[in-house]
Amino acid sequence: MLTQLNKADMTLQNSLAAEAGVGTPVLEVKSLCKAFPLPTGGTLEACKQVSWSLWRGESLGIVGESGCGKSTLMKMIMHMLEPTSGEIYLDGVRMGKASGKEAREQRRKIQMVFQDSSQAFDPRMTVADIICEPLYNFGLLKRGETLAIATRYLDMVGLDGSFAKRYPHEMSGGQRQRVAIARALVLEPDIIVFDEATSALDVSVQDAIAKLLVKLQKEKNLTYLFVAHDIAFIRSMCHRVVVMYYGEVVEEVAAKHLTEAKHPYTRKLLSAVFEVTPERKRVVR
Amino acid sequence: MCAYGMTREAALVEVNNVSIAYGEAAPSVTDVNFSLEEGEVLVIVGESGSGKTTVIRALIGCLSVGGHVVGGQLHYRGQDLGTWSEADWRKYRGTDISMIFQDSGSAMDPIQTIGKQFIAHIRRHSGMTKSAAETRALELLNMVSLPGGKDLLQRYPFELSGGQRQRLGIAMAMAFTPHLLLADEPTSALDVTTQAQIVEELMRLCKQSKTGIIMVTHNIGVAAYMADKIMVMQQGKVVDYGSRDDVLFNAHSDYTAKLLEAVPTLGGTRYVDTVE
Repeated sequence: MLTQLNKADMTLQNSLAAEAGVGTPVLEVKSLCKAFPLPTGGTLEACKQVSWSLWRGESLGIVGESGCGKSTLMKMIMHMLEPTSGEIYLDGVRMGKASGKEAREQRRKIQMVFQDSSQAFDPRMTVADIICEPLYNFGLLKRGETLAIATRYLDMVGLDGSFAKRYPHEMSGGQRQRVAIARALVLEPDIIVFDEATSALDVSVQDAIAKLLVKLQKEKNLTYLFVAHDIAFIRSMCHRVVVMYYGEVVEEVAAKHLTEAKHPYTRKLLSAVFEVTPERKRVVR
Repeated sequence: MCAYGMTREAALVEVNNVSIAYGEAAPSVTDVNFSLEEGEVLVIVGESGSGKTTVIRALIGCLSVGGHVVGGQLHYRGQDLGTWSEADWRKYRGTDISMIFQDSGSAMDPIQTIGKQFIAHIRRHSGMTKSAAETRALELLNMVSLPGGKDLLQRYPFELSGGQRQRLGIAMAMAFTPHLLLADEPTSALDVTTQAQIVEELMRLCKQSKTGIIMVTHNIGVAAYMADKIMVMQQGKVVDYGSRDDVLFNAHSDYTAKLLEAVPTLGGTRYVDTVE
């Protein structure tokens, strides 16, 4: 049964995406390219014709080694870089072309959690202010509400309300990352992008945060985009996986059937995973 | 330096009831016991702040500022490290006992070429001439599959990728075929594919030259692949210690079980399906 399903995946890779959702994808990337000029006069194509779609409530993982274009892609999705060509659609609306109010609304819909929250946070702000800052930026914060809102979102990410008064340095890495998630949630976005958000954490802490994220996703019907190099973690968290290599998408595969992926580069990534097995060998050869 | 008569039978490393404190504070590592033979690999795992790095830094006599051994003994080939003078340390450190850091790049001088630093390192510990040291450096670079030869020696640390820098760190640490190699998270800043290569590299060196390796990592998969012995630490205490199979498959502490449970795998359950 399993192998049959898998065969279907291989042959119908494009319709695989269609299976995942109906109607308009919440995020769609079409033939996205980004080229950087090199000092030598040439260009570096960091992203080449990247296309995929993401439906509401789904998790997509993007894996690849450093320099494969993952971060460039994220930056374009987050409005931090202008694509050289290609389009990004958020709920069917082209990103970057919208103006004023609509553009701000697009920014609200998509939030991000960074790898190192100790650097992403202002060290002189309290957790309550850190969590509510996005609301303040969007003019959505009423005077005197800060503490109540912070407490509510802290509770959502499994932290005690007393954390609201703390400063970033007074927390562990795992607690800080929970605060980063609370901050991303406070604008009630549709999509959250995680850029190596758990890779600096201990496995036991990563495990707790992973469970929290899946729980939140189901409660709020959130859409997740994970960028990570830990392919086993991606498999655990995502519905679909996009493998990038030198700026190109080389394979798109259902996370369930990740170990049966075909592309040589995906095989190489899989074979680089060390696991706890009775015999000393890699899981995938 | 006092050498016991039993030096030859002594284990490569023997650590007895060691406690280490920083400043006047209560010990941050207490009652650590382990031993290591030549050619064996001991992997220390545990969460950050559990004292893993403190333990291996004590073995090379470079605890961070204020750190000192407050109890127990560390023995290297039967010699008590506590009795070593600075001169003894200079004799052994970098040659007999060497260390690979998490980020070998930042352990190097950014404004000197790789060649200059590598050759200085070799000559500092041996009577080699400059050209002999250069030849040796090139041999070592070849050994860790770092291509580029002489060209590479003329480059600066920032011109290398993380994986290349880490290989360079290994090459420098292996310059005098140490009996004991300490490695502090040598692969955690690297891509998985590079990590796999470095792990194989270390295993090969260990087999070829009978080097004993003590490695700190938070990647339990890597520990399972490399280790003969595993030590699990939590909050400055050893919660599990024993042969690889014993610790991985008959874990005695709840913490080890929890740690093993938390590792994402390619075959296990997926949270996206199971968590409610």
